[in-house]
Amino acid sequence: MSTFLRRLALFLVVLGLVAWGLDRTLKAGLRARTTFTLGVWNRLVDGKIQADVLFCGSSRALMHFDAATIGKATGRSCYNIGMDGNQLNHQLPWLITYLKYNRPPELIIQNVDMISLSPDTDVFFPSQYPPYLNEDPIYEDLRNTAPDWWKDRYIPLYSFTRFGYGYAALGVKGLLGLEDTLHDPLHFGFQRKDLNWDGGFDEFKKRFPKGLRRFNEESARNTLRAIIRTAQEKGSKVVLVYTPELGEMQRLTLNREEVMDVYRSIAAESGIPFWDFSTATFCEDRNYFYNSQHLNARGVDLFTPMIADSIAAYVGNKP
Amino acid sequence: MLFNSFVFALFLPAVFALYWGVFRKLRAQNLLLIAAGFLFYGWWDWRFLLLLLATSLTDYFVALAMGRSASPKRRKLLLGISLIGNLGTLGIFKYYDFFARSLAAGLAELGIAHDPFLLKVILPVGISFYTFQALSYTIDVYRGRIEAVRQADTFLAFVSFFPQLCAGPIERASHMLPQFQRARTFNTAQAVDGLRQMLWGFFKKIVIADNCSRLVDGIFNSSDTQPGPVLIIGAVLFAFQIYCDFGGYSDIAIGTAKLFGFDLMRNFAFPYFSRDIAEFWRRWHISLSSWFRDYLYIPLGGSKGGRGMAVRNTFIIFLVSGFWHGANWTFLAWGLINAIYFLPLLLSGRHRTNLGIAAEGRRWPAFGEVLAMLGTFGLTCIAWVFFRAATIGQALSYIRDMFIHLFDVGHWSRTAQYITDRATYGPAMACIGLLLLAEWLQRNRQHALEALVFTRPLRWSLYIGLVLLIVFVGDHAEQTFIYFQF
Repeated sequence: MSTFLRRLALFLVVLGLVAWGLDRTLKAGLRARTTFTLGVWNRLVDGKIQADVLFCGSSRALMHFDAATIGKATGRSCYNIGMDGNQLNHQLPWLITYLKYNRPPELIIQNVDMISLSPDTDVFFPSQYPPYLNEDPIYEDLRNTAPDWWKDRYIPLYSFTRFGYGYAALGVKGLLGLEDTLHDPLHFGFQRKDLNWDGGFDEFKKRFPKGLRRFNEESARNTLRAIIRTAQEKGSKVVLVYTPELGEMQRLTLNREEVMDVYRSIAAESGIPFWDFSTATFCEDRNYFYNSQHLNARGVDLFTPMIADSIAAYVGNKP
Repeated sequence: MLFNSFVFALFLPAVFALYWGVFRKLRAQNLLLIAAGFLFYGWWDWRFLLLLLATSLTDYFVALAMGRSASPKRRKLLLGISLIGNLGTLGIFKYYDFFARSLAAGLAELGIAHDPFLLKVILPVGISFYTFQALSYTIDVYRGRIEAVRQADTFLAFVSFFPQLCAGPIERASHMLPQFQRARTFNTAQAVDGLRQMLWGFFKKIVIADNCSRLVDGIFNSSDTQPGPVLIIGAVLFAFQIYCDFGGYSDIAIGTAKLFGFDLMRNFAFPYFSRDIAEFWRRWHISLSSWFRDYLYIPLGGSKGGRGMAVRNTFIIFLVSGFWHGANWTFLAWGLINAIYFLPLLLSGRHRTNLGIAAEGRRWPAFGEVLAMLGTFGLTCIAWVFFRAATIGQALSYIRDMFIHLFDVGHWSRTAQYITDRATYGPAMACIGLLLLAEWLQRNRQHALEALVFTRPLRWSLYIGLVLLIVFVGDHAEQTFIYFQF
């Protein structure tokens, strides 16, 4: 028995070392990536963003704030860390991490929308997280959502069993510098969607012909307050922004005013402005959207000067 | 509890440590195995345990009473109770709704409306396996081949032995009970071999079967719109899926049992290297084939009554075997097709031609052997279509569509597109190639990793390579085993 246990232990040690070494290597490769979402997060934790204006929020931030163009218009360096499919509870740890490695921005634009007041109970696009699990705020947030995340942090190669060899291949490509820079959809963190109206909203309308109510949860309201407080404590100005939303969709939301009042009141109690761009006239035209929540490239081109002017008016133009 | 689950990775070392480290006495070890078996099985649904316990205790007391009785009439009555108890349970849980629905459908054909009363009960995992195993016990006691077990814990440990509880191998009491009755000592060589066999089983299940499963599901769920060559690929991949799923399970079960000092019977002997269907059935699901041989074919008269009786009994065995798998006409059709495949060999007296391994004494097979193996594999693939299809109609149209456009260039280009659109194909095919190569080179062994002649660093590199393949290429969705539904 002791021979067996000794041999097994030795084998497991060797296996553990190989697994640990590979895990470190592949994650180093993921951490070396400069494109796509991991490229954004790598810049963030490497302290390479250092933006004057930082755009935060969910996919509506990601796809609405053309950071490079706004930067040119305002004379400030801008960057977008909007997160597709992730609500405020997942956005807060990234903001804390940003502030840990980058100088506090002069201005933080926090986008909110009709579903912001409902915390995520799962993790969308989980493969973006494993290289950053040693960041405590990020890890704790994931653990709060799904306790199993400890396996990703402590079991070597566990993340690669979840996301497959394609994920390992990303790490290898990152190590070797073999990235597809030509097709990176993100430019200063902004994702431009050159798409036409996709028609999904019509199906949605059929499902909810009388409209629907959106969540308004205390925990989400507190998270939004925490985001504002975190930024303000570092000396950043904060603005809450509601970016353009299709008018038809606005009218389908039965408690829209209730949700907007929450934003107005949180902004007021925090002493920050709340900019509502959902009243823009082009919100009534489907040609500027690819779905009810997201502007397409044409819509972004209309929206960009509007937000740039507002920013310039709020913090002043830099030459 | 699934072998390919995280919880099993915790469960197995814990039971192993308690078994060899704390519970060293025979009775204590058996009690621990019962507890482990009940935990393992009850992990799905604790209510299943009641059924397991009820059938086990019935067989235990019936066998005890049989052992005490000298009256043939009473012994027969007791055997009847055991048969009714086991097969009745199986019938209620597995077949009742099927027959009720079939009856209603048949009456509807005659214009008689009938709303069948359905039980709609969940099929307990592995019910066909443990009832057959328990039956082998009472039948053997009835036949006087073994004595009834007096200690209930020994019998319960035999029935609820967790490595093979859910999907076999279906053990014989005459082989297993003595192992539960004698003191077990730890055997390093046996345990090491067990770990190797488990590793190979996990590779087969997680890397090949589970990856193939997604590809096969995609093809079978849209079979009416797929080009012929894709359907052929679907059938071939299903052949590997089911082999690696069930063969992988068996490897893990046998390997796990070795860790506890038990020797389970072999269940697969590299079946896709068979040169004819008769050989295939000597190599595929051996524990079930031999069960039917011992408890059905031979009692029916086997081949002693001449060729006619042998043919009749062969058809009975294959049809019952098909139906054992599930309550669906597709399984019956699968059994029937295999019986038809078997018939020419039986009639020509060539069903026991290929008793040894292919290319015995040589490294590579002769051309004729390759053709024979490919032909046999092709036949099994066609039969597997019935096994996998939802209905006989789907199976028939699937097989027709496999061949009807075989020479249509458009179908081949659509096939190429279909494959290139799915990134899993490349790794799955490469791993199937690795499987075939390893099993071919080790075809005279019990499993592909047994008694490798490499040096230790090379062997360990191979094991670590397999672990890494499981990590990177495996499908880790903890997919259940196909045979659990039976």
